[in-house]
Amino acid sequence: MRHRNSYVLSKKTLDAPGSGALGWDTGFMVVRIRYGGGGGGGMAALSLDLLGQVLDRVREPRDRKACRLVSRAFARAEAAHRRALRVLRREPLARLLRAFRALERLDLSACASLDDASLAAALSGADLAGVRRVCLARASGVGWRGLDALVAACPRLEAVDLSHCVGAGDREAAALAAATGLRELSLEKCLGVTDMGLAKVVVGCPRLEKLSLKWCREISDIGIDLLSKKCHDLRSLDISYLKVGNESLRSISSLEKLEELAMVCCSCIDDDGLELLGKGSNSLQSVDVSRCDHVTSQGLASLIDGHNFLQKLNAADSLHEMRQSFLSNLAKLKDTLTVLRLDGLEVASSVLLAIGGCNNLVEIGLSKCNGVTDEGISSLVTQCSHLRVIDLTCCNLLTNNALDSIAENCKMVERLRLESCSSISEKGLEQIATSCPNLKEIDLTDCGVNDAALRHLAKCSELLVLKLGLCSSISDKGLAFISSSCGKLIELDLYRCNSITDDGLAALANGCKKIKMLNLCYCNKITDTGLGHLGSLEELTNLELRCLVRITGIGISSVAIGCKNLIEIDLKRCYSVDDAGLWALARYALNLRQLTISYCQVTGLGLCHLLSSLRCLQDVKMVHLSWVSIEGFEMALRAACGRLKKLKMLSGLKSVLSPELLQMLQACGCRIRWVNKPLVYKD
Amino acid sequence: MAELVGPRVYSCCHCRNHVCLHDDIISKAFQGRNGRAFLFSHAMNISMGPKEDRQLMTGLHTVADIYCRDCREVLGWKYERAFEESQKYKEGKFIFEKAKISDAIHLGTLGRKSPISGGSFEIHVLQRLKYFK
Repeated sequence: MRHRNSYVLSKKTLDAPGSGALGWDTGFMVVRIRYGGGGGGGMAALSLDLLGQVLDRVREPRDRKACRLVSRAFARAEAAHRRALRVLRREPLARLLRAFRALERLDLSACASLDDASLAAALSGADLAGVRRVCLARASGVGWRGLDALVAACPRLEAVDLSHCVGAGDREAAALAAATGLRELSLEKCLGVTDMGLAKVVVGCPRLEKLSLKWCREISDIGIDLLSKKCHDLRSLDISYLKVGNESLRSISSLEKLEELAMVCCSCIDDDGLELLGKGSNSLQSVDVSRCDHVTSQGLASLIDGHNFLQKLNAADSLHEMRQSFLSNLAKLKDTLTVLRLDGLEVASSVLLAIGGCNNLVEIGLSKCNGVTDEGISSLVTQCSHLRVIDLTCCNLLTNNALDSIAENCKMVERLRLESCSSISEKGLEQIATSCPNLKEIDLTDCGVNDAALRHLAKCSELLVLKLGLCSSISDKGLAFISSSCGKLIELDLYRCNSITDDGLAALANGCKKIKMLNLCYCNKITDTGLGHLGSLEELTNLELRCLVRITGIGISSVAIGCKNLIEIDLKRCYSVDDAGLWALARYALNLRQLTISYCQVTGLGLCHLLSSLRCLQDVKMVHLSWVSIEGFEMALRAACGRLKKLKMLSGLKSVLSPELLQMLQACGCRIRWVNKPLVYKD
Repeated sequence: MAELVGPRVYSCCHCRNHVCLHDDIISKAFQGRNGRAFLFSHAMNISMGPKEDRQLMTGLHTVADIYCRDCREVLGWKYERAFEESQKYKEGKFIFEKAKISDAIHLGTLGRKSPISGGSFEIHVLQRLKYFK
C-alpha cells in the first residue's frame, strides 16, 4: 500500500515523535509506506481503525509504549484498540478505564492499595461492556462491595481471579455469584469461603468450566457434592489442600466433562476414593495427587484402569513404593501419557524401563528419587525421544553417562534439572550443549561445574534460565562465555559463586540485556562498580544481593536509577549500606514492592523517608535494624500503614511498639512475622 | 488476621514424617555426604545412632547419625562436639541433607470463621439446595 504522505515502519523502537518508527514482532507482515515531504496531514492516509489494527500486532509492551508517544493519532488509535490493561497504581485507575474503551482483560493485581471505594468509583464512569477477564489476585483491599460494582459494570464477565485474597469469604463469593456468565473462577487461598459461599457461586454460575478452591479448607464434601450436581460443564477443578474425602471423589466422578483434577495434599483421600474416580464417567486427562499421604500405587492403578486417555499424572511425594499393578496399567497409557512425576519415590532401573514404554512422554519428574542410575536413565530415554522436561534433582548416582544418553536420544530437551548431581562434569554438559539446541532452562546448583562447562553451555543460544548456585569454581571467564551468546537469558542464579567479581557483571550487562532475575547472594567480591554495570539492565525486576559487604549507597543508586522496573531487592547483611542507599531507593525505585534490609546500617530517618515515599512497597523485612530507634520504627510504620501487607521484624519489638500502631497495621491487612534471630552470624 | 498454615515443616523424604522446621535453619551452606545440607537448631521425630569421631571438611568432630524414627532412613547427623574453637557453634545442632528431606507445609487450623457458615441450620439449607433446579 503506497501513499504520498506516509510513514516508514522500521525495526528501531523510537526515533523521534512524528517519524513513525515502530518495533514489531518477527511474524508481522509489514505495510510498507514511505514518508513524503509535506504537511502533517499524512495521518489522513491511514484511518484510525487501520492504524489500530497495525498497532495490535505490536507485542512487546515497551514497543507499545513507544507507539503511544509517536503522535496524538497513534495514541488515540492505540487507546481505541487496546485489549489488555495492567494497572500499577490506584490514582489513575478511573482515568485509564475511561480512556481504553475496547478492554477485554483487566489486571488489577499489581494495583497498590486498591480498595472497594476506589474500585467502585473508577468503575462507575467507565464503559466496560467488553471486559471478559479480571484479575484481582492478592488485591486484599477489595471486598464484596468492590466485587458487586465489578459484576454490575461488566455484564460479559467470564473469568475472575480472586486468588490469595485471604480475607475473602462467603459474602465475596455471593457477589461473584451474580455474574451468571462466569466460566472461570479462582478462589485459591480465599480462606473465608465455606460451603455456603460455594453453593451461592455454583447456583448462580452454572456455566462454570474452571474452578479453583485450593486452600479453601472450610469447604467440605457437601459443597463438592453440590458443585458436581450443578456445574455439569466443569472441565478443570482444583481441590488441593482441602479436607475433603472419598465422598467428594464419588460426587466428582459424575462430572462427565471433567478433564483436569488437582488434589495436592488431600490427606483424607485414599485408594478407595481413586477407585471411585476410576469407575466414574469423567474424561480425565490430567490428575495431580502429589503429597497425598494415603494414596498408593494400587489406587493409581485402579484410576488408570478407568481412564485410558490420561495425559498427565503427578504423584510426586506421595507414593512410598511402586507395585507391579501400577506398572502394568501404565502400559495402557503408552500412547497418551505425556507427563509423569514420581518425585520422592524409590525407583529401580526396572521401573524406569517400564516407564519408558510410554513413548510419547514429554516430561518426567524423578527429583529426590533413590536408586536412579545411569542404566535406568538410559533405558528410559532410549524409548522416549520426545522428552522435553527432565527433572533429576538430587539423583546423585548419575554421571556423565546419563547426560550422554540424554544428549543422544532427547534432542528436543528444553528443561534439565540436575541440582546436586555432583558427579557430572563439563564433558557431559558438552554433549548436552552440542546435541540439544533447544535447551531453555538448566539447573546446575551444587553440581560443582566450572568455566569449561559454561564455555560449552554458551552454545545454547536459546537459554532463558541458568542456575549455578554453589558452583564456587565459576569465575568471570565463565560468565564472559555465557554473555557472549546467551542473549535471551532471563534468569541467572549465582548464589554463593564467590569467585565472581565486578568484571563478570560488566560482561553480563553487555551481553545479557534481557535479564529479569539475578541472584548474587554471597558473591562478596562485588563492589559498587559491579552494581554500576547492573544499572544498564533495564529489564531487571528481582535482585538478590545478600551479604555483599562491600556495596554501599552508591551502588544502590546506580541500580535504582537504571533499573526502572525493579520490583524486589534483597540487601540482607549488606553491612555497608546505610541511609544513602535508602534515599536512592526512595527517590528512584518507584516500582519497588518487596524489600529486605535486615542487618543494614540504616537509621530511623532513612527508614521513615523510604516507607513514606514508595507507594507500591508492600513487603518489608527489617530484622535487627540496630540503629533505628523505637520512635523511628513508629514513624516509619505509621507513614506506610495503609500500604504494607507483610512485615518481618525482631520479636523484641512486639512489646515495645505501641499497641494502637500494631492494631492499625492489622486492620489495614498487614501480616507481621516476629522472629528471634541472633545478631551475630557465623558463616 | 487468619493464619492458614503453621510453620513451614520439612518431612522425611521416604515416609513424610515431620522432622524439622524452616524457621530453625541456621545455615544453608553445608555439604552432606551426597550434596547440599542445612544446619538446623532443632529436630523432631528422629532417633540417634552411636557417637563417633569423624574428620569432616571443617575439621575433626564428634557426630552421631540421625535416623527418621519411623522408617530408619539416615537423614544426616548431629554435632556432639567440635574440637576447633571456631566450629564450637555447631555443637548440639543438626545437619539434614537436602536430598533426604522434602519441603512440606504444616496444616494448622484456620483461625477465622466466616459469619455465614458453620451452624447445622446452614448445612440443612445446603442439603435442601441439592434439590433446587
